[in-house]
Amino acid sequence: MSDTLRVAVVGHTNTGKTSLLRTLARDVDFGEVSDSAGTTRHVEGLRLMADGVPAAELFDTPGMEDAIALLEFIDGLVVPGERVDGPERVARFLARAEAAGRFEQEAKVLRQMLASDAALYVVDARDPVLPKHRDELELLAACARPLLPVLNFVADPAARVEDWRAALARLGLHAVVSFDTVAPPLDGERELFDTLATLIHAHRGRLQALIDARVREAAARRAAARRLVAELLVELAARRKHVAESDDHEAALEEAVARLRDDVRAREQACVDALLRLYRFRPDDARMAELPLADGRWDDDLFNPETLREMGVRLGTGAAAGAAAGVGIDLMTGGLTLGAAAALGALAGGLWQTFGHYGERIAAKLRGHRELTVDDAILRLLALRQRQLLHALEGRGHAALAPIELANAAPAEDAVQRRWREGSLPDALERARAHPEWMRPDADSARDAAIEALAQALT
Amino acid sequence: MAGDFEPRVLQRAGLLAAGTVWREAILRWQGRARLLFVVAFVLALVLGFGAAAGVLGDGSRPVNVVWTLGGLLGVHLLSLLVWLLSLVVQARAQGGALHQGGLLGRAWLSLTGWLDRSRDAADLPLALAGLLGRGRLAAWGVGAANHALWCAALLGATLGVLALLATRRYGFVWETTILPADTFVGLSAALGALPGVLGFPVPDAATVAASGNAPMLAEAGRRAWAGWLVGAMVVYGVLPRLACVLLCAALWRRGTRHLALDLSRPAYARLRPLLMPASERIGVRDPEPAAMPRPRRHAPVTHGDGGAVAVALELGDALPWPDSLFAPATPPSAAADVPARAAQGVFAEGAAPNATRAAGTPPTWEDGGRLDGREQRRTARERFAAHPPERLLVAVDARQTPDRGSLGLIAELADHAQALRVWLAGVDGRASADGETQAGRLRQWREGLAGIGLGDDAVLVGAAAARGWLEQGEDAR
Repeated sequence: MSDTLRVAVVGHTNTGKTSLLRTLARDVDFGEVSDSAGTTRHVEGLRLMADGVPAAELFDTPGMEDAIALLEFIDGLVVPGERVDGPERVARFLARAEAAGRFEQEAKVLRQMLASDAALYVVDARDPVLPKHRDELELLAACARPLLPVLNFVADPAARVEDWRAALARLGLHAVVSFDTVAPPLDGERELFDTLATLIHAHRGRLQALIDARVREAAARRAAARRLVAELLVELAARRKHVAESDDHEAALEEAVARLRDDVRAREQACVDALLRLYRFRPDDARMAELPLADGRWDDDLFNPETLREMGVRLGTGAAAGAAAGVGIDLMTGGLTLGAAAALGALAGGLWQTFGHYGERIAAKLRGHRELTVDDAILRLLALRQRQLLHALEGRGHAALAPIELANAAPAEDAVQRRWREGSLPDALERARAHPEWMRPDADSARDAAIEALAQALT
Repeated sequence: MAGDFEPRVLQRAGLLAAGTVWREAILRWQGRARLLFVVAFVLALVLGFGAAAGVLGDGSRPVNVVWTLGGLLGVHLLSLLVWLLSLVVQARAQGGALHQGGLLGRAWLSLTGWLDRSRDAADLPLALAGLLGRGRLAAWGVGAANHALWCAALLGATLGVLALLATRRYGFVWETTILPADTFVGLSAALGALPGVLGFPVPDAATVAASGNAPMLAEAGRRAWAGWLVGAMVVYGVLPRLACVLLCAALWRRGTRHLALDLSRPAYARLRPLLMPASERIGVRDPEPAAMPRPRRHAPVTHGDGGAVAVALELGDALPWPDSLFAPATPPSAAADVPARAAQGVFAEGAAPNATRAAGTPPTWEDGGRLDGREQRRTARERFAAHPPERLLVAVDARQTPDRGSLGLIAELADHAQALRVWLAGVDGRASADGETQAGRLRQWREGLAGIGLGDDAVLVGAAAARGWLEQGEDAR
């Protein structure tokens, strides 16, 4: 065997071999996936990279469809009483004309098995355990390569995981991995590679490097995602809109509120788009259906009181009701009411800038302007539902074809969620209230620090 | 080990910038900054010279040593103090990046930006600040420029003082109304101590005392005062600034050498899969065959003497055999509840194929058993070869994907029977929870069966239809 670790992905037809490769390789366009037999008819390879270094090669193979007949055929190639080991039997078969004829697809699988260091045997756990599967496994075992069964579709209620584990154990296959390509468990990939590494010890280092790289990558992506949401919250908390005093000030206020709301909606959408790009969702992606979004947007309007109610967020007492719900209007003081924390934060953040803003605001106050801000309740709602989106993005595979029901009511009420819903808002947001300039990306380390702190609060 | 990621990000940025105005703008900005710095440097020299000339005057009146020194070094020392203070304060506050670095340095940057206010250049200072803001790099860079300009001004002043002292005759004097003369003796000695170490002359106490009463015009005294003045300029003006320049430049150089992108930013995280793909495709290793192998039919037997037989092909344990046939339009869920006969052993190969089921009336057909494993299939094949059945019903689990093996077996069985029907068991034709999947499967079965010459009329859905055909030989349609 050469230096590269080669792994064949084999199994009965339509068990999700190509889907498994797509998920493991993070390559949504690899091969072709459909819910029918014989979708993949060739052997195609993928090289998994760990930090830019090749770690393993995976080969997608056609499904085995005629194992019973093939095993019978191969057994017929052995003279009774002759002692022939597995690889020799397979070699005899591959030398026959049938290997290019009736059993052409199976021959491809066996050839690839012989050219690989190990194989993943993909099982559709919803299928009943049948003798044809046993014959498939016997054929594969004849190639004398370590075989790791991977149970796919285990998340399906019809999955017969126990049946399969028992059946595989009877064949001496005790190392079995459950890995649902539609909804892969958070640690599933790691478990798969870990188990594979125990079967082929010589390549343990490579696989470990792959695992480590994937873990780091996932952590970095998660951190980046939280930072995106934190940025959204900081920018919206910092947002202030002046409303000039005019004759028809009710209309002017209404218009300003509408504009602010549009801005906030657009900003949230930008964040959603960025998150989807980060997790490599494309606008026309079939996987979009799995997210709590419709066409890449949230269904419920941010400023609809019903949305707030559904998320369990109460409109603060200070918030304006009715037409201006979700928008705080600072009428009395021209935006000078800052909590002690905000004021302290402002002082730490840069004395001159702070004074500059106070000056600006005092001027605005003198001119009779008013300021609109985004209400706390809206920030809470944004944090809650962006966090929900983060969770949805985290636990998904790359091969899902059909939408999966996502419980609308949050599955488990956790402490972080409760805090965002009812507790006091993080200090970082209070600080952002005092820094209108944080509304825009800026090379301000205080802003960065606030975003970092907020990202922590979103875990 | 993001070791390879950053170079790739930089390379990508370079390639992207090559076709845009950005690169051009950066180069222009750099050129402008350099040019401005040179101009400012020359200007500082000239201004320093001018300041010296202004302070010393044309020699018509004696030079007040205290005022001269204060005038030439006062602003400089004050600004140096402010810079040092801001260094301490900013170290604690971690404040905005480019707001540090001293007055002159900042003015230089602002002016550079101000000279080109085009859209291309608008974001450059922001980007620069973003890059240099971390690790106080910007403060060191701008600080170095700031101190260099001050250094130039002080150098100019020192040179000016030297030139004027060389070409004009000045008398030196100190004046006071309220202070005792000793103060000036002490002051000149204290200020002269450090330059004295470097070899600059220091006026002795007698000279200092004499200068208090009338301008010192004696040659030795003049020289001592002139040396003291130049020494103070060098030691308290030029040298500290030079040290600051060197310090800032060293820190700047070290910082730029270790300059790294903040790869944890979301934008970079998004680039990572593009620049450091998790996988790459190797390509097709074994291409798809020109023609897929497919099961073939031969001529069916024309006369059967084996009666009516029903067999089950890979029904699994969810569909009991032959009980499924007797369940009236069994919905799949109900069928699953029936204790599975074959479920005792995994890979159970079913019971002997003679278990004819009589539900009250004598059966008009035989149970051919399950055809899951090789042995069962061989037995059935031999049996049907000897006595081809008149009617052969093959029950398949319609929820499974039809595969080549099953279709091949059905094709083979069809060759050995006078008439053959396939019963798609497990579905009742009605819509169900996963109706779409089921409909898809049914369609796949129909297509697969059509591929081996069994058209729609050979396919039965529903237990009643299957039993009806088996018992009466009529298609209940």
